Amino acid sequence: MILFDIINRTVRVAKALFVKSPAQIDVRYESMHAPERYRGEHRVDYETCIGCDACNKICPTHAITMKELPFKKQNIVPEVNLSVCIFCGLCEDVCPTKPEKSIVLSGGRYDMLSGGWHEDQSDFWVNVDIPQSYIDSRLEEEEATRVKKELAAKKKAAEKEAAQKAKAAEEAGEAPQESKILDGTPDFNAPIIEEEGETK
Amino acid sequence: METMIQAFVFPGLVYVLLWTVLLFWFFRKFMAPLHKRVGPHFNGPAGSYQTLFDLSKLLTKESITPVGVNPYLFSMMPIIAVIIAMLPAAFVPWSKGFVVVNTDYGLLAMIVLIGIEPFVLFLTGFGSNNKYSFLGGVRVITQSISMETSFFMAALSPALLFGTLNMTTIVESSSWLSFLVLFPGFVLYFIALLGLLEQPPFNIPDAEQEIVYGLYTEYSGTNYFMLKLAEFAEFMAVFAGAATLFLGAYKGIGFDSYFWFFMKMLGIAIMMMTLRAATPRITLKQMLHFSWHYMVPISLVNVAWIMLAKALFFTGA
Amino acid sequence: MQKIKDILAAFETAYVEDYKKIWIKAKLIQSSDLLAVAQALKTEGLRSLSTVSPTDFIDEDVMEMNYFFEDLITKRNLWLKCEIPRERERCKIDSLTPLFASANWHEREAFSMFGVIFENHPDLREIIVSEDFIGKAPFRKDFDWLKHEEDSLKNMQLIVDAFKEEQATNEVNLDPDSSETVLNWGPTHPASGPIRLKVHCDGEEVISVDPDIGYVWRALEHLVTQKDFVGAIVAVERLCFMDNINSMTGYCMAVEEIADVEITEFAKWMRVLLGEVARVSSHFMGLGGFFNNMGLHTLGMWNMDTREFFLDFLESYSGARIATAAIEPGGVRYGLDMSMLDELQKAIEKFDSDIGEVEAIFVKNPTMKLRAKKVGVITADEVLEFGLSGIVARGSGVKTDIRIDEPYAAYAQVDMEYITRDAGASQDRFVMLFEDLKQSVKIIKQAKKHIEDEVASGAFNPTKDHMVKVPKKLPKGEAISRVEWARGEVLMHLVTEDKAKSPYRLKMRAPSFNHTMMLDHLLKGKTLSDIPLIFGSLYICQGDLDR
Repeated sequence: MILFDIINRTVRVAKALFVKSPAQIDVRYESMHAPERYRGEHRVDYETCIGCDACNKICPTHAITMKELPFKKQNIVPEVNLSVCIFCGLCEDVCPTKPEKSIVLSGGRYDMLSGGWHEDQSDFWVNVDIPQSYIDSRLEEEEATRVKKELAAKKKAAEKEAAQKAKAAEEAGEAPQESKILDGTPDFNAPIIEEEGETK
Repeated sequence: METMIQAFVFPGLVYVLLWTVLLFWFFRKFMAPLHKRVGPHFNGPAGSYQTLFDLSKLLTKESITPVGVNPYLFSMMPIIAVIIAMLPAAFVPWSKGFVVVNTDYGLLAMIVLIGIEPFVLFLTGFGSNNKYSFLGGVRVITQSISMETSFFMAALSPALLFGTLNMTTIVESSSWLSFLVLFPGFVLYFIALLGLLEQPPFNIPDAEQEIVYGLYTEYSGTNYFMLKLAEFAEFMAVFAGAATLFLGAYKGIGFDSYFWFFMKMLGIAIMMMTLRAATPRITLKQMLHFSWHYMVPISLVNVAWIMLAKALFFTGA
Repeated sequence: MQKIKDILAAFETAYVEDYKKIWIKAKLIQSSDLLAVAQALKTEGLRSLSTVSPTDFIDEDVMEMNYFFEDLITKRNLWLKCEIPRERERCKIDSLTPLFASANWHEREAFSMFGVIFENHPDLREIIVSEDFIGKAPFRKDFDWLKHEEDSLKNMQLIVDAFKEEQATNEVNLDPDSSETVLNWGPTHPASGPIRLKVHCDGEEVISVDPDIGYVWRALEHLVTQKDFVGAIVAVERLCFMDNINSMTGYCMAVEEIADVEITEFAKWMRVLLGEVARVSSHFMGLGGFFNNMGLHTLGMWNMDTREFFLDFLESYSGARIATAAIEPGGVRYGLDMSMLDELQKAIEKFDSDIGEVEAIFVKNPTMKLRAKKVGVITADEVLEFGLSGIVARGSGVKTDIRIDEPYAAYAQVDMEYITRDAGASQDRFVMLFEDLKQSVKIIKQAKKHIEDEVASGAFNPTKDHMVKVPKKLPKGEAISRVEWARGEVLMHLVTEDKAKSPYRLKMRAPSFNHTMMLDHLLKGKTLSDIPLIFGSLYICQGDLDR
């Protein structure tokens, strides 16, 4: 009879009273399941980032903005807006840096926005804070390379000029002069060229 | 002075408020393990302050009155509903020798007051300018008329057995033998109680999935608090009726006091909750069919059985 | 199949060719022949029209219509194309609704999105995009989205006024002496989700139901064209996030077919495993939802408990529990670490220990049988006429399951069979859902064992075999792919241009679209209490209804 069926079902449901509840952990403070591939808050490594802009191009929701740095090369790093990001992980997949990627979501924090009041949009950005010492050291490096390049360019130009002059002298039939010393020391055996038009 | 304390403290306003807070918490905390959940957890030990916070939050919210409602029906009915729901507590013998109004017609008064309640609720649904509330109101009336018939007959069976309508006398004369005789009546009373209080499987007027919230749809804030208070006061009245009429109110093992009364009321609440977790809702037509084709005839058969039992076992008592 | 070719031989066609094992692809030259072809096909036995999909070729100034006819019983399918002019006034074609009832809403969608006018359609109104959508036909290639946004913001008041006017005329058209009224079983309702049903009811009795959809419209089919082929998976997976893997599988199969790339065996088995885990996760919610609509929340809560273990496996594998983005063109996105299969084993054990109680208490629940045994009856003929699929079709006795009819991934090697019920009432669909759930767990066990055996014997390399390279630029072409999604049949039609970096057009055919079309037919004469019951038993998800 239906009444007994209903009572039977009720008793079976009541058996759940004696089962230990799976909800034992307070997830405000620790997570119940934290695998290593969990896509959490982004971590950007500005030192290894090569500024290729691939993460910006593949982001499906345009959550990544590139921050400009005052260098000549490798001068952009990504910053992420967490309120737009959908945590798909494509930016991490496409980053070409080896052996560690420069933008990483795996294993990130899961409690990104908990606690406190959020009255400002800046709470929702993952910013890249670059210390001034790093900027200075990079600028110095660039300066050093620039100076080196200039010197090398000058050297090459001077070599080219000398080679041209030697060629011109050869064509004019004069005896090939001794190879001059080109490190800047004056040639003490060169003839003294008198200036024309001065002593009349 | 005595009357003032009885009206406002016990078994009056403060008692009803405390009872509401406790029962609400008990419902939520008991249902939770049945659902493999935890229930209220954060506020107070095992979440016991949660209901207090919820109810006081309701009191501080704005009571929105929609355009086009009938102001008398909408705003005054909740207050009337609370007063009517609190009145039956005056007739119940809460502990040995303590009853507020000791009359020879206590049972009748209590049943009538419990029975008026649904009509007041219908008027609240009718007064809101909303199709869903109206449908909810119509359902309340339909369900109450059907279920109250068997409720009355089941509740009057102890009176038939003991030959009196006086609640104190009924409690005095009850014993284990009378409990066995009244057991079918108790089962009928329990099922009719589910119908009257709109609990599953009969929670048709309150069907959240079908008509939003039935007749409570347009209420918010203090109005809503009043209606909820009326609902829980109704619970108290009906449970107290069950405990008094069938289970022998304050009689217990070892000593007689209010403590056993309270335990019996909680026992009925536990049975109701467990049934709630295992049974889905049925439709209005099926409820009508069940009530008029099964409940009422069985109640009549129960009356005949009581008469027979009285003739056999209680002659001379 | 030969009979279909004979039918087509009587008309002028540009080509008729075999496409995959059970499809024929053909192109008609005269679009006015369509009605006659459809009539002949219906007599032959192809009684279901799966969907109608236009493609806007703006360079060639032509709108190409694609029709997909299916025969669910003998498994013969026809993909018919024809071309019509593109200008708004001349973009007309005959409507197939008088012959095929399932064409009704699909033609309305083609009208709303592309502006194709269907002659002799009984009720050609806009669907999904509302009537006050400023600037019509959003999926045409010359639609200016920025201008539309500006106009909408300026004309917001017009939209509000139009809505209020519609609400006011709700009751005016009714007979003032009767007690008939219009109820909005609407978007702000505890049991409906984001869909509005305009219910004409007389007291508690329902006279007619008119669904109004489009509250979750994200224009996914347009979004896909703005991203490249790999980035498009995040749009495709949001068809319905609970079973996201199977829709991604359908899209990736179409891309791989155009690029002519064959994926590895390991990737195929991984797609089977992940697809079944996602199907299980979706079915748990569907079972709970059916009972929630009757007021009993216990089953939903108990299912959440078991479902968490399956989601733990998905999280360990892909990093997210629900929107996983785990299938990419070329295979699966991540390699497999064998310790993840231990979590799957825990989930399977928990499932096996709980399922007996659930079956005894809820599947055989007497009160549920009281409610659901006689309502929402769908006959097998109606299944064919309205183009239903999945659980709903199998609950009425039609043996159709794409995993067996047209096997994809590694399903050809999986041991499974058709499970059907005959009566077609709501209760049968619920039991069907439960049986499907049990079968999915059996398939998971098979796939897991196969992968473990092959890895142990060295045939699969789980960290390297998961992905094959797919070129970034695809050649010109088009492909269709069908998958058995949790709720029914999803058909994806992908069109690419030459040297394309993103899809030109992706059509996703949603099963819930056909199921919602049936609501009016099923609810005539029933009471208000039956609306959530039937709605829940049809296993509708508003995400794929609107896309």
